[in-house]
Amino acid sequence: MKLFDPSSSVPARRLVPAVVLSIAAFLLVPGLLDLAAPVQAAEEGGPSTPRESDWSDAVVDAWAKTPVQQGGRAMPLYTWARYALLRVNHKTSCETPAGRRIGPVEWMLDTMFRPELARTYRCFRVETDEVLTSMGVEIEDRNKADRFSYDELLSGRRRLDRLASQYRMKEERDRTRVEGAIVALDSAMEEFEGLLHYLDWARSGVDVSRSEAWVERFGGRKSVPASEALVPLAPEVRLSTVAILEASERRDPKNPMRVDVALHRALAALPGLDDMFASGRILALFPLNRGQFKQLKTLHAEREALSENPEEWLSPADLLARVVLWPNLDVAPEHLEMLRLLEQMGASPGDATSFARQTEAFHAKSRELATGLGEYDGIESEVAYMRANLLGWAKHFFLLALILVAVSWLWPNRWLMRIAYGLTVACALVVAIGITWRCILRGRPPVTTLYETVIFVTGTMAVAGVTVEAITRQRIALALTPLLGWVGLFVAERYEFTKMEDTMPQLVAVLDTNFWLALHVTCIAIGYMASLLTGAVAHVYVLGKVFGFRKADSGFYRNVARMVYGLLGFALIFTTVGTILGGIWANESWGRFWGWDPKENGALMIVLWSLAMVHARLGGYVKAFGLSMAAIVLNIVVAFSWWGVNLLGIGLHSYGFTAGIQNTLYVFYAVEAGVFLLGGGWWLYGYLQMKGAHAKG
Amino acid sequence: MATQIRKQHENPVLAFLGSFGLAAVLLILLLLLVWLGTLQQRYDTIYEVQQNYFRSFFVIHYWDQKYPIPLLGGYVLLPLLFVNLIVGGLMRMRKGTSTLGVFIVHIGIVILFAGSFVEDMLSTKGAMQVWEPRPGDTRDVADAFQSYEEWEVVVVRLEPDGSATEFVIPSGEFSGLDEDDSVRCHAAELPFDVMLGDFMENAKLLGNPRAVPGESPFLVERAEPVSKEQADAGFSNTAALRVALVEKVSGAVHRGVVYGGRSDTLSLRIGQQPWSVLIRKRSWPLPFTIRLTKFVHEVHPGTGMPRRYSSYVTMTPHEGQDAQPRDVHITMNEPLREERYTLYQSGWGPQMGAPGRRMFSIFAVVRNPSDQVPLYACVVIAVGLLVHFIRKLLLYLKAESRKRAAATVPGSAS
Repeated sequence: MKLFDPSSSVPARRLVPAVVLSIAAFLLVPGLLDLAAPVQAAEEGGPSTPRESDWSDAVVDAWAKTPVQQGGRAMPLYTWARYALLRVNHKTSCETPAGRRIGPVEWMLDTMFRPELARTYRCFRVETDEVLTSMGVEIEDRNKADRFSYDELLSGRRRLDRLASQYRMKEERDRTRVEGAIVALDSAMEEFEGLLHYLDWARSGVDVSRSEAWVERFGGRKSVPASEALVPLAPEVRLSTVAILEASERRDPKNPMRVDVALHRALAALPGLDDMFASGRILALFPLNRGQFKQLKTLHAEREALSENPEEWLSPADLLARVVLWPNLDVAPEHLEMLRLLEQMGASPGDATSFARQTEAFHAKSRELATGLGEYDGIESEVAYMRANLLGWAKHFFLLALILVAVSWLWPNRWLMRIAYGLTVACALVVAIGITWRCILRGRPPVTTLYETVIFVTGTMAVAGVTVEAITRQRIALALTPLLGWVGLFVAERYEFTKMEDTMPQLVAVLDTNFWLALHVTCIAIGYMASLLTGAVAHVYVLGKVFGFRKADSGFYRNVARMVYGLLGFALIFTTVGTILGGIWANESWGRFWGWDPKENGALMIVLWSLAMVHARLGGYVKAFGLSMAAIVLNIVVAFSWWGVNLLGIGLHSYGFTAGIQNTLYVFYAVEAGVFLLGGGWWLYGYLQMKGAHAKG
Repeated sequence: MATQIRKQHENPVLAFLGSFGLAAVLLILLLLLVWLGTLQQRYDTIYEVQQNYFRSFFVIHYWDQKYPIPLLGGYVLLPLLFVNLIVGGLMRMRKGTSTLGVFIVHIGIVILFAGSFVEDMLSTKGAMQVWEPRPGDTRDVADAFQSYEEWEVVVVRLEPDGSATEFVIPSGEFSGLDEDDSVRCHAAELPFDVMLGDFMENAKLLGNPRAVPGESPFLVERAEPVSKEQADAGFSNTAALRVALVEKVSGAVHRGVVYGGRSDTLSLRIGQQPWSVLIRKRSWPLPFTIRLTKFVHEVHPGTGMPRRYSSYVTMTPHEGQDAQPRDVHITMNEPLREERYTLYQSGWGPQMGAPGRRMFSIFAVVRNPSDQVPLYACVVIAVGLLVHFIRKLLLYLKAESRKRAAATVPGSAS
């Protein structure tokens, strides 16, 4: 076989770095262009035209730092807009028809304040044109997967909605790709519409012309700003709501009408307020003032404030409902002021000077209220974290380090190596800083979500890698660390982009213990990391042997084998202790040490396989090559434990099913199985040859 | 070599039981069992999987529900592994500084095994449900807890003062009874013998329209045990039994049925004395009383995501010097430990309904003599692993620095 011809080792040596280089260049160049692009776009922006997104930096900055309550926490609008745009567009920027690239906050501002403009942005990513066919939309000259504007999709909106509600009845894992894409597009359009119509009431004002008394009350005006009309009209709206409820109860005492439905009907007489109640919902921008908060807390404790959670912030719709339905709760003057500012901004977004002034005032008010509740603390820091994009930069520089290592294989040079090593150390530091920053923002230990396991595993892997290199000086870890660092951060990014959700979510009750999170979860994550690193080094051994890399250099393989064994020992400490700690935590919170829950079992499987490896090695049943082959299987076991069990959709830890992840995982299994089979085949070939030689001899 | 000579004289059985090979094979078989048992949880409830895979000697797993794979169960693998650990990992292992860490690790694992064994044999696990207080309702107080799975039959004598005396027949007496089997239970205090037969793990209760006066107005019908889907949706099995009471004096027979959670299916008078028979989840008394003052279920604002479940309870020990009521707060990750019992916040209800409604709280109750053993084992294992790993690392570093020193000294390489 040509593959195992000794002469092939020389070209292979040249080939590997060359391949790595070209792949890396292919990956790196667009990445760097990506990073540079916003700067470029800003420079190209030039003088603004009325038909173009042209928010000043100060306006964008103030909105970015405005807090909103979402997913149970106060987050900056920057974060909200980033994930909203991601859900719609599958990336964190968007292109205007004029070809200008805008960020998430600009996109959000356009959609909110200049809906007619945002409707023309091609910001809806549709994964396959079969979705358009199902919607009955025909658009020519587009790719199979492409981006479309809201206006382009509008004609199929109703059909899309019908199809989506049909497919939502299915479990996510049972949907076909097209069905999944239809549901995703429908959700994206719904969210976009929530933003598009968020300020309709501000643009239209409240039409009070149905009643002469109202017109008279507002000095003869037929249209009144909502902030002005809300409080004076509230008692009448309340009365008619109560009347509608009573009538419904008389009609059908068993099925009383819901209060919000009755309120909606009562508002039919007041277009404008009606809009505010129906569509001013998506953003809870109004933090309570402290007095209101205390009052609600007390009522809540006495269980009088039935459906009100005292910690909930208000959207315009909530505010309206509050003013109408809770006459005994004070209306905060700050809220009316914020409502008025939104109204003014919504009514005349084109006046840049006053818009900037109003933005500033709005931000100041919301900051003041959120600070009063103690919820503004991390907001600005979070925006800074998001904008710094440390993990994105680290990803690119890991790749650069990898390229340098590959170049140094072609043209050996001590300085190149040193720079690559320095770059890798710097990347490890940057990831560590990123993780620490997140810990400070969240007030939590480093790992509380699946996303954080990825960045934590990557960060610790990078640290472990540079440490191993410092100890062994074999240049094996030097090559592997930037590769694994890049892969890890790439996976983290893909995961974030697939889930399209806040990566700093609130935690469910059982996880609300920093002590155990810090102890057990961190320990297990380090165990995953060390096991994967063991497997990665084992690849060097197996693939090196198979492809005849440094064939004559037995010292090299002895060193690699030592690294595999040493890392396995390191991994075993953390997986074993971490798994037992998990049991101890379970015993603390549920009163049972071991419940055979899938995630517990997954962790146990890593321990069992590692132990089997160690005992097989000690018993002499496997040697260096066999141990490396087993370490490749260890990778599969870790992948199953880390991701696979979550996809089973069972047990206490099934917090992360996503179809895209499942496919990636299967590819990983397949690749690892392929490497294992390749190694097995090579070993068998050598074994048979040796047998043949013996027979001849 | 000395080791070889020793091996020749060694008992081959012991050598096999303590071998690395057996350890590796058992660990791999256990891995296989755990893996397939995990996959099986897609189809079966976790309890069924535990019983079939880990608390059994042998199991046939059907891959993809189709292709049979025979597996050794936990009851075979774990004892064998334990023997292997004792023989190979403690008795036969060479003792010395080089194996000190590993020896400690093995001791830690033995402790872990022992703790699990004690837990399996001696622990009692169940749950109790208490409601928030309401005048005229005593369900806010509890001083007993119930098994999750195990049933018991209770014969109740209603005393003239309104209290009740209970005679308990444990599940071991009746849980294996088929349609045609029956068992006769005697007790000196009872004026009748209790005959039990036809135990149904899950049953439906029906009215008996043709019942004549004096006959039980109920029928029970055997039903399929709840499936995984039903269990996930919150359904559980309700057991039933056919019962006949045979009066000791007259020989008269009273037939009827008992049905889980119902106390009214078999009530009768013998002479002037009212009796009733019922089946309920096995119940254990607690040495203290729990009274729920308030249950709080918080969600993260604007979401349905649970942030905290908390029960505010008053705990009164039944006896002892400190038999004073004490206010306790039980929440997730903060259980109440009292007199060898531990109470964990485990559930609440009703799930539906308007806020402000009267709530109940469910506590998991565990009495486990080896409760803290895993913690000790974990510490021992961690110490052992660290000792071993650090020793190896230091040896390696020393060898490396020696190698480097040798490489830098001119002439020494030759």
